[in-house]
Amino acid sequence: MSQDAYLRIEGLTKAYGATTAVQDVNIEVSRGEMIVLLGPSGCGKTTTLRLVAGFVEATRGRILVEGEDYAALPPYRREMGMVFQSYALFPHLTVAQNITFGLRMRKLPKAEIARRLDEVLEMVKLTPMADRYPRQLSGGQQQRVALSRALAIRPKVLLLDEPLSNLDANLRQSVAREIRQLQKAAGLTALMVTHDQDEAMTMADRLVLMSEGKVQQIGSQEELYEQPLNPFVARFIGHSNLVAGELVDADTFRLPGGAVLKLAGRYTQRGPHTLALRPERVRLHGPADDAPPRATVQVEDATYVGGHVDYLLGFAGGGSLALHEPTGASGSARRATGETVTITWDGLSERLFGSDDAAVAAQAA
Amino acid sequence: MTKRRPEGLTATLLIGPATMVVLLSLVLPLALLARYSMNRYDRRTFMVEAFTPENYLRFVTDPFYTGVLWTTFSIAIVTTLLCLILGFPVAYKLARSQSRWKSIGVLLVILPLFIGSTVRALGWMGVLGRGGIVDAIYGALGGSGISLLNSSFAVALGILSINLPYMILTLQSVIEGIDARVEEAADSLGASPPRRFWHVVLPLALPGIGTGGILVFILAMNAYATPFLLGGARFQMMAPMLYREFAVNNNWPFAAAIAFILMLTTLTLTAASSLLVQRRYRAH
Amino acid sequence: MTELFKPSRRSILTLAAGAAATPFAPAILRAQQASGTVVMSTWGGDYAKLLTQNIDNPLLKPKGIEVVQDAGTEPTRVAKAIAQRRLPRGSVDVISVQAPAAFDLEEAGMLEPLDESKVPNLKYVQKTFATPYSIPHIYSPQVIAYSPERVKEPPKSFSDLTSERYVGKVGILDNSYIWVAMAAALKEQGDAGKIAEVKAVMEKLIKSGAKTYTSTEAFAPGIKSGEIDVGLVWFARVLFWSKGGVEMKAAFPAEGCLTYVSSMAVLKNAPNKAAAFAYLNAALEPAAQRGFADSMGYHPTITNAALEGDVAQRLALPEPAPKLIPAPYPQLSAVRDDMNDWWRRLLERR
Repeated sequence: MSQDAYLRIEGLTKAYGATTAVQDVNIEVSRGEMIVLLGPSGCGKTTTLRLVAGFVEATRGRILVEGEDYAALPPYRREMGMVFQSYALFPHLTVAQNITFGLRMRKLPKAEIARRLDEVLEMVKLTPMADRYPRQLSGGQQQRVALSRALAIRPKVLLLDEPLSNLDANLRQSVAREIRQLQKAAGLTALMVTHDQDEAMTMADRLVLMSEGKVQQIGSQEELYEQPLNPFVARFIGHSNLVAGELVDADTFRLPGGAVLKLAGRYTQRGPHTLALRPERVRLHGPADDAPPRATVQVEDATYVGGHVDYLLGFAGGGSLALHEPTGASGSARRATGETVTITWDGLSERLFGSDDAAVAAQAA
Repeated sequence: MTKRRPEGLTATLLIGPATMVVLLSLVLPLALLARYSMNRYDRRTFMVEAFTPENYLRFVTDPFYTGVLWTTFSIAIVTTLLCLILGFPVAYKLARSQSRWKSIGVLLVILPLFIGSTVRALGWMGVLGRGGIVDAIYGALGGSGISLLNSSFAVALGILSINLPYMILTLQSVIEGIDARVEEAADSLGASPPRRFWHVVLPLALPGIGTGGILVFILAMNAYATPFLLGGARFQMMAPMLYREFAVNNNWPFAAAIAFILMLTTLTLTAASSLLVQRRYRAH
Repeated sequence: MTELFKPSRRSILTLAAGAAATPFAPAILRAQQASGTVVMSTWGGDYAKLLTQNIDNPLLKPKGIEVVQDAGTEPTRVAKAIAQRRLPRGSVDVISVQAPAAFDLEEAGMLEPLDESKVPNLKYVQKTFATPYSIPHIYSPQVIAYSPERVKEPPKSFSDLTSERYVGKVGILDNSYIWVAMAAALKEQGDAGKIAEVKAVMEKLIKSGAKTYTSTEAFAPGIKSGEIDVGLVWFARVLFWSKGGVEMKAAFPAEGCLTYVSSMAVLKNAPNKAAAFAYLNAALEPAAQRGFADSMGYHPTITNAALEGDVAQRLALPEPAPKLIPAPYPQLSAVRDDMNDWWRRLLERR
């Protein structure tokens, strides 16, 4: 891995007695990059962020910024700007006083403070609000104050803890874009925590998907989507169908109930495996077409949801699969419940995982 | 369905009884007391109807009485400040604690409130008096018998121990209302713990400090058992003096005047301090 | 009794007037006349318990008189009586107070006059203690209590307390300081009534470091711990404390002993005067008087209750009998307010 990473998190671990909240987390972040920590609640993403901020003391590991270890420093020496989910604005200070708080703590000259205040207010378009108190602002405005308060100190790393979750749904997108713009404009290296996949996808340069205190996969949106490293990633990103079964020969996958799927790739492994298929990459076939990959299923339910029809398909003898068929020009007729159909899928999107959850590669054709 | 009643009438009906209770139990006795304070004392008949300011004049023109008021005020201020200084760290720790010991800590703070101030004063007598614990330790170290009783120190210590729980509980609830994230925000913006305290925690806790301070100040101004038992005959504070005038000397008019002076002094100082706190809170 | 709950229009008006005039007045005790209840305003604790054991239960109950005690400190009970004095009917029948307070209540015109037709046992009362407005219930002479460990030669008179020997070692009960002043007046002026004339003596005592105790109970630990060596207290107290294990003895001043008297009197607005007089009469019965001597160490005030055996020995006064001098009530009452004020200031100035 690159030696010139701006922020390196090495072997970061936090244990509370017998429980380990964060286990051996390693992340490298380049200068100016926005990394989003994603995962279900309790996965350790917030603890990781708080470890970096210094609010929580690490049990083990290093937090290097430009080669300097910050792990032992108290939070007020770390120069990391933090934006909280609840904004955590100082209720007794005005917008201007909130924004300049960090600057005053640094005892910057008055003129410099005033200059930076104007600059930041301009940036977030809050100049007319400078003398208001937080309680007089809307949620979106408070969020912008929180952000500019963190930006004003020109932090080494910008930390964002679920910054959008307290906003109205219709505000989220615009604020997300705004945050991203400001971060890019300032060239700030940022670490953001969220549980919302869409948010993560929109804002990240790269994603870190966590579960049970461990990093599951680090990569771009595309990498996580197209090449999940394990079934957890496959399911969490894009809700893959996970079908458990057995590889009985190079391209035959048999379900416990007896149903048989013909796979696209050819595999040398045998025995129990998990097949991951994305609902939007599976298609309905005419009953005559029997080229692999394919499987025979029965329609259990079909729901029209606008952009696509959401099918629930059942295998003979048990097991089910979701399928999204785009609606529109093709005007293909909707299949009736109980109808037996054949399905096929894009060979590249077929992912097979071994019993150790590791991805299994198909033989080169 | 019953006819709808105008809302104002319902409200009046609801507030009415409470207002009457307050009026009867608070305002009437006070009015009576005010009337008494204008009467004249007579040794034979105890009280003669009059309309004279002489009881008040007697108090304010006599350095002995104003001295007692001053002593009371000084003790109240000193104990209030000490309560604040000693109580704040405890309240803060309790408020921010997430350990399972927290409830035990709170219980330890509340527990002394179950014991009356008289009993606790007796306890202090056992600690500070001749033959008490301090005396025994002092004796073991080679000193000759000492008694810390009958001093302003003993009274201040006694009042402090009684008032401290009130202060801690008041502050604790206020500090718990301050979002811990706000302190972390200050942290991340570069405020060291002392500056975080000064610029964030203290201003946000100010209303609680005001409430707690006023509460323990009023308690201290009106302390009776503690100064009586720990201060002894030679240490004068307002409440014991008031009681003596009322019950021992049977001088009700003067006792009423003392009561009013004590009440007005306390009210004035309380109002002044809460105004101050409010203004400081607004100024931020 | 249903009549109780059908108050007449008149009694309701009285009640209302009472409630308005005195917020303290408990209105519940009003309709007791018919029931033969007597309300006794008394100190709590041992004294109240002994009243029940020696007077209420053995002497009054058989006569169908039920006693209700209204217990409290003397000042609060006197204050209550004052508060109710304008009511035609108060809530208290008998009030027990120290003799000086009884004098004050009489001065204020609050006490019912007594004579042998109302309280037949008055004829046995020792003449020294008799008054026309109250009965003396028990008495105890004022003595010089001292620690036999540290005081080898017992003090002989009040003057010893002001001598060099006991500088800083004299204890004074703050609430009985005036009795010390009267003892001083008796010795120095030859008249216990010349109280104001001994201010200098008292001042000397305080300036030379006499200890003042706000509670009577603090005196014994003072003697025990060596904080003080001597002090003027009631003889009954010395008996009580030495029974409790404190090394303490009593010396009777040669010039005579001021004498504590606990009185009982009937209030003019007592709701049940007949029962009240019966109470006073019972309190003067020899059996009742002996009971108090035995348990509390106070002497009987009547001529026909000679003590016997162990009690007689413990309570025995020395030979020749010391002169027993009740407080000069009129003089005391006249100077008391000024003296109290002066005493407070003296203590404050130190």
